[in-house]
Amino acid sequence: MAYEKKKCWSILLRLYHWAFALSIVTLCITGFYINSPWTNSMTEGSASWPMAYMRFVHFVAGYVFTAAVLTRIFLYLFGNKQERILEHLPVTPRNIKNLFSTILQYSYIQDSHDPDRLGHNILAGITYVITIAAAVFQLASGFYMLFPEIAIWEKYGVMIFGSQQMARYIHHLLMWWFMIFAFIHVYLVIWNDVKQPEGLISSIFTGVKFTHKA
Amino acid sequence: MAQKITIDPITRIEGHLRIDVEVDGGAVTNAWSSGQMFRGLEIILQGRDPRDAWHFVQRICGVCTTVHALASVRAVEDALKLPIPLNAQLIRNLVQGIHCLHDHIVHFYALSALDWVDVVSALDADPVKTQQLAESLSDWPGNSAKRFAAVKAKVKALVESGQLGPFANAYWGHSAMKLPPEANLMAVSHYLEALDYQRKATTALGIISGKNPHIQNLSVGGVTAAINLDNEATLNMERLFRVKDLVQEVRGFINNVYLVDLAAVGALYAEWLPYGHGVTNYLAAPDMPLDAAATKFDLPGGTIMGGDLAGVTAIKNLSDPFFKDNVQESIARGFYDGDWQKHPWESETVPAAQDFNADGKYSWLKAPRFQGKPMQVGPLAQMLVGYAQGHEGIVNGVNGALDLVSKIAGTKVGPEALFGTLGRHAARAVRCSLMADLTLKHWDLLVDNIGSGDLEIFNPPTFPKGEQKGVGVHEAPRGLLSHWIVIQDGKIKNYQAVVPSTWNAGPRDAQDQLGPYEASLLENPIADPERPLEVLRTIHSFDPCIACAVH
Amino acid sequence: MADTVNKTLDPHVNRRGFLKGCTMAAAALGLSESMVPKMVEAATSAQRPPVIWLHFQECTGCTETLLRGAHPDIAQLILDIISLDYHETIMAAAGYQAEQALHDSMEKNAGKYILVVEGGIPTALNGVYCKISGKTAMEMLEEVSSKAAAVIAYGTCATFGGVQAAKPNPTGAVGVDQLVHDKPIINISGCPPNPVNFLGTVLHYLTFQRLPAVDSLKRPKFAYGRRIHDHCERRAHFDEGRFVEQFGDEYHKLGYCLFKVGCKGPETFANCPVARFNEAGVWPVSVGHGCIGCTEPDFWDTMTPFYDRIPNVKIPGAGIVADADKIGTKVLGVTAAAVGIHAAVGIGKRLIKGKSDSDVG
Ligand code: HEM
Ligand code: HEM
Ligand code: NFV
Ligand code: SF4
Ligand code: SF4
Ligand code: F3S
Ligand SMILES: [Mg+2]
Repeated sequence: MAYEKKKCWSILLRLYHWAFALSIVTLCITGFYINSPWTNSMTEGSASWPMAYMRFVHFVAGYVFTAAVLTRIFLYLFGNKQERILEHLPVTPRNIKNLFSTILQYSYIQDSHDPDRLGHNILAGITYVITIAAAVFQLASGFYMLFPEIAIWEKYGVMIFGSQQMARYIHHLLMWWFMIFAFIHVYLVIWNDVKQPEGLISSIFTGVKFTHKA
Repeated sequence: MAQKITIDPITRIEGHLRIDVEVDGGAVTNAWSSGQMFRGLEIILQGRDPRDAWHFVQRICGVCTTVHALASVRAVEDALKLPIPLNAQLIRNLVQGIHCLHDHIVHFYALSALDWVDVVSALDADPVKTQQLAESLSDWPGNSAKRFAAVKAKVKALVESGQLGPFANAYWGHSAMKLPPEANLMAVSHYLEALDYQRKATTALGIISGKNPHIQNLSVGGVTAAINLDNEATLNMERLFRVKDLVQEVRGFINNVYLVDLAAVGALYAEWLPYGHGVTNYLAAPDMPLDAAATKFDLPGGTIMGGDLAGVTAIKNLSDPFFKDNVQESIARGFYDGDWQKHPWESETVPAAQDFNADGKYSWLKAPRFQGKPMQVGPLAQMLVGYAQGHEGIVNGVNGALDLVSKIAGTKVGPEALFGTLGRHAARAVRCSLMADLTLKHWDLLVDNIGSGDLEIFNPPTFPKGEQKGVGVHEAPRGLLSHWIVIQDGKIKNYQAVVPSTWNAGPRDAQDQLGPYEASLLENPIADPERPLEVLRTIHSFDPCIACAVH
Repeated sequence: MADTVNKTLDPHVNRRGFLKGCTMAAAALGLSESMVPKMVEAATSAQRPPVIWLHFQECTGCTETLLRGAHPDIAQLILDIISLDYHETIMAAAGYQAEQALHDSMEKNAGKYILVVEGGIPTALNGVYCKISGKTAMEMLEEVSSKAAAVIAYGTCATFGGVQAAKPNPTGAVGVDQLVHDKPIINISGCPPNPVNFLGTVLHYLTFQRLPAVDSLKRPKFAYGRRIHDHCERRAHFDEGRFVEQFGDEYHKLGYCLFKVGCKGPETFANCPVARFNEAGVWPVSVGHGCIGCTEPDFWDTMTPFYDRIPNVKIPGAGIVADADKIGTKVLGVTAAAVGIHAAVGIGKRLIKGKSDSDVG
């Protein structure tokens, strides 16, 4: 069987992906520290500032994360065909069909996949959209905690989350979504890479997928 | 023909109390005491972390703030059989002692003095004569003619401003007001001075507890202020000495002003001595433990039934079965679902809101009973229980106060004068003075113990699986307080507070036995049913706290 | 000796003490020195501004704070600055006489008095859980607020419902601004609040005839503008990662940060570490106990357990009780197991069926 290389992911999307992925890893680690610091420095007079440092890294990563999320939202609207939001959701008969076929495929019931689909399958697409939505709440709660006395964050923060503690709490709960998502995501990416010819993993570096030649 | 009067709100108390009385022939013939507000803290606590309970229940009351906190940590520690370090025990005693000074001073001056003192009549007083009167009673340096003149000018300005504020529409000129103008002026002056001294007590309490009302230095297992004499962020000698200094100042006011004023009011209102006895069963808890395990106490506990001092029975410690096994609460006449009478561990709180019905349910209070009997609690109960047991400090205190009254009144007054409305005030003043001494004593014990090198303040609690039951007993300013907890797998399964004002202000029970407020009002004189000042006198003598009583 | 002469009696001491109070209030409000004389004048004008104070579902802890205030103290406050026309804990009259005093002040000062509310307002069953002279708290609030110039909700009960509004809120308790919509309201939260914040607000109002600037929870910014944590004396320990692990440990004795034993300073807005309490220069953290967040809405539910850091708290809503991290770890474990099974099934299938067509890589 013959394959052809097809341009699938724009450079912007790839940059977004890695900014997103790496910032989340950083944010989870530093976030855990902020919640329950594992250090206990007894060295008086030292210049170590673990909490200040962890928070600093958290906030820097938070900005990277925010930039990534904004980029993705831009791409949902103005990206290439594979990147637009309508390609991710079960909103056309074709996409609905893909959703079911993906589920059957993941359950080892049926092997087929969409021959002419270049972007994500719809199951993946849905979880990505949910993840971006979660990301919006995550950054909203993050900025509310970071800038509680700036009118705009305060107003919306109080409206959406209520007290600071509630925001912190939701922030923490959402972290679990990202961790569980990342876990399944990385597994499925490898699984697909093994099962499918697309060269899925490399695609997120190179932007190029392999498909069956028509 | 009996006339029915409702007094609602009863003011100069904590909380929402309504008193109904039937008056016939110038005296009260029947009475109902009714709490008018319910919050449901016992319900809110279910399912929560037992370590947090003390923060919640402390909000039962901001006047006797500290006492629910102390009873609550004791209840959880009792359930866990968790001992606390000696330092923690002594620091808690300082909290109890100092808070009590504030509470009793505020009660006498701010909450009840205006029942006996006619502010407007003070305008007729001569400051110089007032000084002579004051000096004949005490050598307190605040009693100068200059000060009395300034107070008089202040009262005059207030009256002339036409804005009487909190003094508007009150009982000035009432025929039951008997003090001469000079005594009134002296009392108004001391009313203002008391405001300064109660504040000093709260400053001392703040140093130990972080803030008050609602202290924040306790935890299940001990206290939270680390002791380190070489650190500025911990309990150190600078802080401890400031506490001692303030307590000594307040003690001066108590002994030279409060006790003396009380004796003067008692002597000048001697015709009131027979009124307000009511329930003469008394109940008090031992408190101010002297050791970490709480086996020895500076305040004695016990019961007296039917006013029989000779038949006093001691309550030996905070988990004496004689107390623990004999408490029940009745809801026959309370706004709760059912009509049972149960032990607090088995008790529940299921509100059934309804209107006041003198023949049915008429109050948000439950009716606590000891061996089925209503009991009077409070400083009087504690002084009598101690007096009957020959407790040295109490015997001396009570005899000293009675001698002072006898001297001012010019006739011999014996301990039987203590039962009743004025006796409750006198007992409170004597207790306040005793607590000032005990606070200083426990301060010494604490400093000695720290000096011996013991800096422990906390034993961490652990919550085993299964069910544990505990009771936290404490002698609060208004009397015996007990918190009852059932813990299931580390969470609160049942929490019941049986509070001093619940004992005193509670309604009738299924047997129609009157509560202490109700019983004490019977036979009180009422000169003018439109202005029932006498009812206030007797009710105020208990120092009501209805937020406590209902919670 | 000077102390035993109440400040309100001595014209010199009085003036000095009072100036000091106004200067402190001006500083707290961020006003310049030059405003002080204006404040003094406003606060000592011939007609004292009438104040009506209502108690609902409360513990009187909020009222008690006034006894602890020193600049101005309680005597000055009620004799020199305001006319406290109705206040059940302090007033001499009771019963009908008290009701009459309330009525008189409302009529005489209609549209001019400040209403202070202490306590939550029960709304379940039309409010039967709190009655005063036969009226429910709801009725009384509506009646008295309708003629007020402004309402000050004093304490977390009056601002956000308070302890009785903690789950399951058996009486349907709410704060004032849930019920009063047509009057300016200022929320002074705290359980109890710092009296400095009440006195500062009152003096601001008397001086400028308007309420101070507020945050989105209607709390004055001069008192609730920043987090506890931002002005805490233990903050350096927090940044350096030096924490108390357990009460009474070596770190506790060194005054380290209380974050790990539950301090909620990082999410609580109040001036406690700056204003301090009881004329003693103290606040909860200075006695080694964490802040429990008492100025925040719903802190009884969102900040508990007080001795743990969240998220070791209840899942909000619907009464499901569990620790978020425990659930998270379990879900992650289940996910890992599912992933393992999924992979095993794939490998198993491959072993049985051999390579399928699409697997060609
Ligand atoms: C070793 C690490 C990772 C690899 C190899 C990887 C690989 C990939 C690949 C191949 C895709 C495209 C999949 C498709 O076409 O359906 C993708 C998409 C995505 N990945 Fe990852 N990923 C990694 C880690 C992460 C992490 C840690 C996250 C975030 C928690 C993440 C979030 C996403 C998202 C949100 C998308 C969707 C992109 C879009 O919005 O269109 N990835 N990843
Ligand atoms: C996937 C993204 C993120 C994750 C997983 C994450 C995780 C966490 C966690 C676990 C905490 C500790 C909360 C606790 O105590 O339970 C935290 C705190 C915080 N995060 Fe994030 N976070 C993320 C994104 C962000 C973003 C975008 C911002 C905004 C700049 C942000 C700002 C903060 C702030 C301000 C805090 C509170 C720090 C403090 O209290 O000192 N976070 N985060
Ligand atoms: N009754 C009562 Fe209390 C006291 N003392 C509680 O235990 O006042 Ni509020
Ligand atoms: S806010 Fe706190 S102190 Fe004030 S009344 Fe409510 S429970 Fe009491
Ligand atoms: S003690 Fe509390 S408020 Fe202070 S720095 Fe630590 S966490 Fe922040
Ligand atoms: S508990 Fe309250 S008093 Fe201040 S330090 Fe925290 S806000
Ligand atoms: Mg009870």
